[in-house]
Parts: sequence; C-alpha cells; structure tokens
Amino acid sequence: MASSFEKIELGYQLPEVVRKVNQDVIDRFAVGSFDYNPLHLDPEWKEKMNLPGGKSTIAHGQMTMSFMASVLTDWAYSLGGKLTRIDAKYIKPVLPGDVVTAGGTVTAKHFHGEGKNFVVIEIFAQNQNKEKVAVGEADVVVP
Amino acid sequence: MKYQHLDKYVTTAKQRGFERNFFLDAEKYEVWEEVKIGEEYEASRKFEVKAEDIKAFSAAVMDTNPLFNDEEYAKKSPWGGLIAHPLFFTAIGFYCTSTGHSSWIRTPGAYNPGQKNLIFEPFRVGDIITLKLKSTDKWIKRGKHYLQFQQDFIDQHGTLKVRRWPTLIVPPTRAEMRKFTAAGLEK
Repeated sequence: MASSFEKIELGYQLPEVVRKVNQDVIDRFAVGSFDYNPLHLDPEWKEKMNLPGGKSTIAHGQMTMSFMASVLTDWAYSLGGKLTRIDAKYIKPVLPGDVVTAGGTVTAKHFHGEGKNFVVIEIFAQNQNKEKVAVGEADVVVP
Repeated sequence: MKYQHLDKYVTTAKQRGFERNFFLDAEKYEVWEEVKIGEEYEASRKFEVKAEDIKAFSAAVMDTNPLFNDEEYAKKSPWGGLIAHPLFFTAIGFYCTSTGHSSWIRTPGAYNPGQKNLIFEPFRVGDIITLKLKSTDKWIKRGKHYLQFQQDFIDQHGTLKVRRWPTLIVPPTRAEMRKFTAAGLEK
C-alpha cells in the first residue's frame, strides 16, 4: 500500500484557512503571545507614529504566520506528519477588518527514507482584496 | 495595569502576572547601536508549560485542532498527549525576555519583516523551557535598521525543541527610540 508521502502530488493545494481579523482578535493575540507592542494595541499612539499601516493598528506578524502554520498542521497532523520548518516574510500589514486567507502548495518532495521523507510547501496569506500579506515556505515530514 | 480592557482575555497565571506596559522599562531595552554580534546569553526567566498555556495560545490563534486543545483526544492520538500549536514559541519568547539582552523585541515601534524557524519537537505540558540567545546579524537596508537573533528553546532534559531567527526593524539609537516611547509615556 502506498504511503501518504508517495500519494502526495507536486502542485497539491492544501485546504485553506480563513480568519477574520478585528481589534478584538489582535487584542486576544497580544494576551496569548505576551506581545504588547503598542503598534498592535494603541490606536492613539499609532496615529502619531510613522509606521506601517498608516494611522491604524496592525496585526502581529506572528498571528499571520500562525494562520499559515494552521494550514500545515490541519493537513499534515491528520496524516501523522510533522511540521519541521516554517519561514515567512511579511509583505503588507494586516489591519483590523481584514479577512485573511492562508494556504499552501506542495512544490517539492524529498526522499530521505521512511520517517524522514518530507515535502516543501510554499505558503501564503492574503487579504480580502487578494493582496499577499505574507509568503513563505515550510517543510513537513510525512509518513 | 495598562490595557485593562484586555483583562477579559486573560486565562492563565502567567498572563495575570505579566507587565503589559512596554513603554515602562524602555530605557533598559537594548537598541540597535548597542548590540554586539556573536554575544550569547540565557534569558533570566524560564517557561514551565502548563495545559492552560497551550490552550490559551490555541485560542489566541483561533485554532480549534483538538491536538492543541483537548487533553483526552490528544492522549489517544499518536502524539500521546496535548501538544502546543507550532507558533507557541512566540509566547515563550516574549515571556522570557523582558529587560536586558534581547529586550529589543519589546521596543515600541519595532516591527517584524519575517523570520525563520526550525521545529524539532512540539512543546508539551511539563516542559520547562530555557531560552538561549545569540545575536547573529544587524544590518541597514533601504534606510531601515534590522536586528536578528538566534533563539534556542531547550527543555529540562537538554532537548533542543525549536531554533529560530526572529528579525525586527527597530529604531537605531536610544534617541530615536525615545521618540516612540515619549509619545506613549505622555498618556
């Protein structure tokens, strides 16, 4: 019987994850991550500063990455797989009111033997205007 | 307590005792011009992982995967128990670094252009994590000042669970940083 790894085809698109972001969501992430940078929490302060996102607070980059990680774990952990690397670059701030869709595509398969075989997945997150807010790459070991 | 309206999201002992005002000790944070590349050190605070920490982080990232939320389900899974969402290292990293080395990650006005993360083992209940840090790079590009550190998350048995390289764009000097902190302290 073919293993999960053998069955995966290059170009396979992982099921997407959609998250609505508002200030409450950002606030809750600040508490959960212990990251209370005013950039995310303090609209009055942010308005005075010349920082990304203009006058608005912005979501934590780590929150955007967490959405991309959830795409990987939703898919891989049900197969008995394991996320071993995740890299990301943030392109555009996520603002309160944005709807973020995260997804990924299998771009490579690495044949290292049973229990070590892994796939490379190009990951992304985009807003409701289909503008990329983050891109990256991940490795997932698949049995 | 700053940001009192966030109290409704507090569910753990660590969250209850954590200082939320990043302006308060800003004068003690390292700034770009003071960081020396190659220095290694250990964060003074450790992170003992409890089930409530794992569940609180899952709620914060809106991930309902039962492996990250349901002890009974996770116990019967191939993982053998509750594991943390992969980005849980974010919470450990901020919790363990307050002042001193690597405190620049709290700098008001700093922002995150991207990062690299290697995950060797998931965090589990009972882990006592020590955070080891090493300054690995600082550079200027298109007028912005970047800082990068290596963070190693090591459990009480010496197992390296995560190695990552967070990068931030930060104010380059203490004088520049004060422009960001002054506006916050005025309030």
